[in-house]
Parts: sequence; C-alpha cells; structure tokens
Amino acid sequence: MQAKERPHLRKLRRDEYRILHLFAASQGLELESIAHNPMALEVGGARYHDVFDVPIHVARVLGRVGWLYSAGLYLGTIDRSGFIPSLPLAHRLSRLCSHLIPCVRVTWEGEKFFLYGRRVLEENIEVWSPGLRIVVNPLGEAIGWGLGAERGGSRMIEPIKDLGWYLRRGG
Amino acid sequence: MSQALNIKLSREAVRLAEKYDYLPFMVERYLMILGSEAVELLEANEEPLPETIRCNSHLIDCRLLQERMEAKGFTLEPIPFTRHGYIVHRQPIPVGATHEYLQGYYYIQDPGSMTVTAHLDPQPGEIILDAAAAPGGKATQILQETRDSALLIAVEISRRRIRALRSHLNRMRFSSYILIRGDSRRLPRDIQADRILLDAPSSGEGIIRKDRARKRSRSMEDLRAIHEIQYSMLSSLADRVKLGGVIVYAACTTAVEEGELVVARLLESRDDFEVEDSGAYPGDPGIEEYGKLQLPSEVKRCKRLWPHRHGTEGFFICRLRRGRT
Repeated sequence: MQAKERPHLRKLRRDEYRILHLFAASQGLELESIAHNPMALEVGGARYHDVFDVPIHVARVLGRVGWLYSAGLYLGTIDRSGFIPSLPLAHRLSRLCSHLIPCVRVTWEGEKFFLYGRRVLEENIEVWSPGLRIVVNPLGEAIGWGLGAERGGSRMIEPIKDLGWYLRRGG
Repeated sequence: MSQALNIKLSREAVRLAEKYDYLPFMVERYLMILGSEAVELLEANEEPLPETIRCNSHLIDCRLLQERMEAKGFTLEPIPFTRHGYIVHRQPIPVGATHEYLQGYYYIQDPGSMTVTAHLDPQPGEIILDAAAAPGGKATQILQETRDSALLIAVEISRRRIRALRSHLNRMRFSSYILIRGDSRRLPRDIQADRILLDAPSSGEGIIRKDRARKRSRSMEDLRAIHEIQYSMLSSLADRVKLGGVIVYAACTTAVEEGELVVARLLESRDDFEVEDSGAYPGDPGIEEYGKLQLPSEVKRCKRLWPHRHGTEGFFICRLRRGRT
C-alpha cells in the first residue's frame, strides 16, 4: 500500500506561475504586486491547488511541520479552469482600486444585493469595468469578486465570490 | 486527582442541585470552594452572558468601528479590562451578520476569553504556538496584538473546527501563520516556541451562562478523563517551549480538577517551570486548598474568573515560565 503523502506547501510549477501571471495581467498588475512568495498546497489526489503568499519568516518553518492545512495569505485556487482569486486577495488589491487597477464600485444598495450572492444591476453601479474585477462599496472596501458584463445594452455585475460566503459557509 | 474526585454529597448540595438543575457533585464542589457564596455563582449562571466583540485594531480604528456600528443602531460599551473588547447592548440585527463582521473588523468573543491572550503577552517576531486553536478567537487576537508579525503556529485536531479557524484567519486578513491539523502532543520535537497558549479542551463548566446543558453534561468520570487529556497536553507542550519561554495554560471552567490540579501536577513532575504573576488583569488567585488536598502555594499566582464576581464566563488562566533546568 502506498503511504499517504502529507499535505505540504511547495513552490509553484512553471504552468502555475503562468496562470498567475495571466491573472495578474488581467488586473493590470505584475505578479510581484500580488504575491512575494506564492506557494501551492499539495494534497494527495486533489484536482485543484490552493495557493498562498507565504511570508519568508513563515516559509522558513514550513519544512518542520506535518499535516499542513494552510499558511500565509490565501491567494486563491488553481484548477482546470484557471485561477480563482480569493477574498483576502480582493482585500489586498483593493487599495489599488482608486487609481491603479480597474475595479467595480457599487452603491450601498448594490452592496446588499452582492453580499447575498445576487446580480447587481446598472442603477446600483457607480463604476463599472468589464471582466473579472474586485467589487468595492462606496467606502472603497472590497466586498468580493464579480464579473462585469453587458446584456441588452445594460451593464451589470455577476457575483463570483462575495464576503457573504463567510456566513453561508457557517464559519 | 482521585482524592479530589472522591466527593461526598451534602444535603445542601443535593437541594441546590435540584433547585438549579445541576448534577449534585458540581454543586458540592462549588460549596467546597465558595461556601455559602456558591448560591451567588448559581444565580449568576442563570443570567445569559452578554454578547461581546473584540475589535480588530489591525484593520480598523476601534472608535471608528464603534461609530459605524452605532450608526446602524447597535449600542456598544467598552469592556474596561480589555484593550479592544465591547459589550453589545443592543443589536438590531445579529452581530454576526453585519457588513463590518464580514469585513473582518471584529470577532465575537467572550470577555474572559479576551483576557487569556493578554496573559500570554505575545510579541512581534516571536514564534508562538496555539495548541488548541479553533475556532480562532485567541489565534486571531495573537496576530492582532503582534500586528501580524509574529509567527503563529496554530494547531487544531478537529477537521470541522479547523475550517472555521481558517475562515476567521482569512476574514480578519492575517497572513503570519501556519495552520496544522493534528494533535499538538505529536508536534515535531524541533519546534520550539517562545510562547505557547494551551486553551485546553474542557468540561465547559465556565460557559453555563451560554450553554445550560453544561450543568448536567459531564460526570465525575468525564472530569477525570478531561483532566488526563489536559495534563497530557500540557506536559507534552512543556518540551516545546524554549528556555525562558512562557506557557499560558487556560481552561474555560471553574473546576479545580481542570485548573490548579493540572498545573500542580506539572509543577510536581518538573522542576524547570514556575508560575508567574501575569499582571494586573482581573481575576481571583488560584485555589491552594481543595477538600483534603494542599496544592503548591505557587498556584495562588494563577487566575480565576468567576461569573458572579467578574461578570464573565468562568475561566482558569495560569502563566508558567520555563526557567531553571
């Protein structure tokens, strides 16, 4: 019988780096603006990999521990579809929203819809941008990731991942 | 321990147990410790614990959080003996469902629990082990107090509870941690921490104000088993702290069996630990005499929080320093 491999963090493979670079470019950023030390959690048999930005002083200790569950800032998940960014990453990048990267800003009413995992329509959008974008409220606080889309000449935001997840997951 | 658990029930204990719906041995122990004051404890346990939150000063100015919450109809009052704690007197919606909660601006935490991390006094740059870390109140508080610049090694054995812990670490936006699923007694020997927090699994006797089932859910035999687990965890962690380092042993309980008796057993088995007075935090001294047992006088430096005296949940907190070898 094959011994079960302990979950551990490893450096990203070249293809995984490429996926992260593409994601960073889609946000108008270099990878270094997103993460200093990205590492993937390797769990035996998993079809996806959670990716973390692990501070150097944390990474130094990693080799000494077993049954790792997570470490550092959770950046997102790489699966067959590509990179799915996390809520902590939305927060990290949201400080760049006002001038450096394209984000979507919604009204307070829009925030309510979004946090319930519902689509936000044009009347509740203050700033819109197409594609996968950080969604912020009127104070500039990140509330998740959404997809800026246009249908029938009307702009909207489809929720991809919102902070309400923390409640819906019950933890 | 066996001597401590050999408790003869008095008529008064049986009467009070019936009146307040406790297992009689629990009330007998309260009478042993508090005498007639035990009734005040029983009465205090009838009062639900107020909802309390800890502001995440790593993310937001706590005065601003208070303003934001009050603008939404909440009424908050600072808890005097905590740095960032607030009592929530009025909540128009559940305090765990606000946008501020989702932003990671606070953690819902009981007041006694908030003081435990203060006893640990974590410092930036240190390696800090939280040996039973879920759901994450103290783990997130350690990272908050160290401005996310200590290395927190958080260990949790339960698959279900570790998910909640990770979720809170993400929600509150901390990154200087390693989360391990496993038994902290089996950590690799080369992990040496500057400080260790063991908020041990307990009978939960201290949270009767939140969970009335705790009045009857643990037998004397359960208490014996819990004591053994607590001692086993503490004694194995004793080798994981550096010389000169600190262990804070805590348990959410008023039971001497889970508090002073655990610490006394460690002090009797090793000569390289001493109990430290951890400062001017609220709490009564640890109990030196329990039934026929005389415990080391050092345990008086441990702290006890009592619901009827301190208005908190019941807690035992003891700060141990590894010194001479």
